[in-house]
Amino acid sequence: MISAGRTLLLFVIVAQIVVIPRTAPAEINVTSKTYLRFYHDARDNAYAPLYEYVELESRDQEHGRWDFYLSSWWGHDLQTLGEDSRNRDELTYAYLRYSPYQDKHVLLSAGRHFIFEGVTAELIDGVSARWEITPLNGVTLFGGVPVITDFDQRGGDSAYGGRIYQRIPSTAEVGLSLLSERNDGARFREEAGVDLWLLPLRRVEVKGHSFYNTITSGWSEHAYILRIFPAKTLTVTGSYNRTSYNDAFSTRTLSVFSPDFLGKDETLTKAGGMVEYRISDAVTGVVDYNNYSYKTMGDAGYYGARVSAVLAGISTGASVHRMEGDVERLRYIETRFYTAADVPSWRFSIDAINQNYDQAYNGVRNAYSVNGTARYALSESMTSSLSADYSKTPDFTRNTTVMVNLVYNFKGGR
Amino acid sequence: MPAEALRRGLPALLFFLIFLPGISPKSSFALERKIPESHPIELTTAPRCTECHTDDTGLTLKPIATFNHSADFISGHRFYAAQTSRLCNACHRVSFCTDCHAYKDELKPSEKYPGSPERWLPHRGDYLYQHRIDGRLDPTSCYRCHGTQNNRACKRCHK
Repeated sequence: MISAGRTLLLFVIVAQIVVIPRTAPAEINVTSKTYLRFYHDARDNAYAPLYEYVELESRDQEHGRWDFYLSSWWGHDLQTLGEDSRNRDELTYAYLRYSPYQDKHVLLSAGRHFIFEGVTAELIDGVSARWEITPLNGVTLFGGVPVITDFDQRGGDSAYGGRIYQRIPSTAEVGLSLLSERNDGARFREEAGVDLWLLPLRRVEVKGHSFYNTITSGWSEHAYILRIFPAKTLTVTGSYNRTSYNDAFSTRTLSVFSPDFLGKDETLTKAGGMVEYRISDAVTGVVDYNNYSYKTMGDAGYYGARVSAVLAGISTGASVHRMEGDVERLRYIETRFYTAADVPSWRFSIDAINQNYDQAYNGVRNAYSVNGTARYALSESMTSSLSADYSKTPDFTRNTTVMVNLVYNFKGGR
Repeated sequence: MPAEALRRGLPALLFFLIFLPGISPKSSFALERKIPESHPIELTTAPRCTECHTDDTGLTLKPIATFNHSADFISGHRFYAAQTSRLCNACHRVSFCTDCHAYKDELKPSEKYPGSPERWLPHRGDYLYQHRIDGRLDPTSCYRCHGTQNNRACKRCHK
């Protein structure tokens, strides 16, 4: 755990001790997930990483006014060729939420937590406050230090912003949001957003958002979805997305998102639709189509169908899609099939994916991956599973991964 | 806050805070308070909310039919989560979200839950080759999760 994580964890634990009376009844939930994987790389070198994921949830059992959540993982390479440390770990989330009111119309959060409000989808070390002024309108404000992977030092970094919204019952919700992020004290990311939900007719729904990059002075993204419900068993969806690479990817922590790499001044317009029909309570069919249109690159279309069913304790699904693009790499057929059977204490599943390329790459035209898993419930609170993957792709002619997993869940109270 | 963002955003913020609360009908207060702390019945599959919730009003002031977990709802769940996370929390524990929306994670969601293929989790199978195709096709969908965080695995090759 990095030092910032340790400091934060200490802060959250101290805050919990201060805020929550020791005598308060609490529901406590602890989950431990252990994974041990075995696999080989393309040069037949063996690897065996071990992972331990721990989650702790605690909440006010009496009034529901506070809850505490912590999740963390630790990894150790039992076998590796890497010269770096064999150990790594991370504090994923650690926060305390408190509301002075039982209905939580005012909610305060502190610690490492996710802000998902309009234009903001950011993990921060900081505080946030949400106030539902009335059921029809409210405001969220947040501030702290953004949690960004291995980018640079965190000194001089900050992130703050908020969202306000207005609702018209059963008709509309409109939100306005702002995000301002500084890195080493300099402007890094500044975005404003409008999010929208509309029900203009009883069976017609519109939702979406538009984000504006105030540093590049351009719209980074428009994303809107139209849903129609002509019958209880039928949903028709149309979608429209437009992304300007210069504005959407101006802030990034990976070079691969640079417009210089993806295409300077490129814009992507993605439009499509989906029709979902419930054939019966147990069987659902979906037909979908998406068209990808670019300013400088060639266009592509992705279309196909899928069906999923749950019959006599067996879940089954299958899909077939065709990618039809202007370039050779965007011409292939993708198919998938899965089935999962539940019998007392056991679950068995098989999942297979296949990409059949029109043109062979590295001598491989038919790429596939197959997974088989057996899960056994040792008790009400403990399950174990054994999983094996076998794949053939243009990168790895043959690849096998085996994984053993043990999950333990403890529920208690005080 | 940067001056430009303030200049652009502040008038709209003021409009919302000052004028729109004035059109709020008081009768709708009771509706919002119906959101429970947790769903009274534990659901094991993606729910059709309208199978039980026959009244069309209430939760977050949106019709309950719009929350049926159809395929398109699941693919566009970010729009609902950004507006009505309180309702999501009635059924989904935080850990449900963090299975995918993790930070610095090394295991893909499909690797954590290989025995749940019916969840159609992203990046199933050996995704290494296919990600080059998907990334060129629509980098926006990659950027949402890997643009500024959760990219430790990406950084092994993409510096």
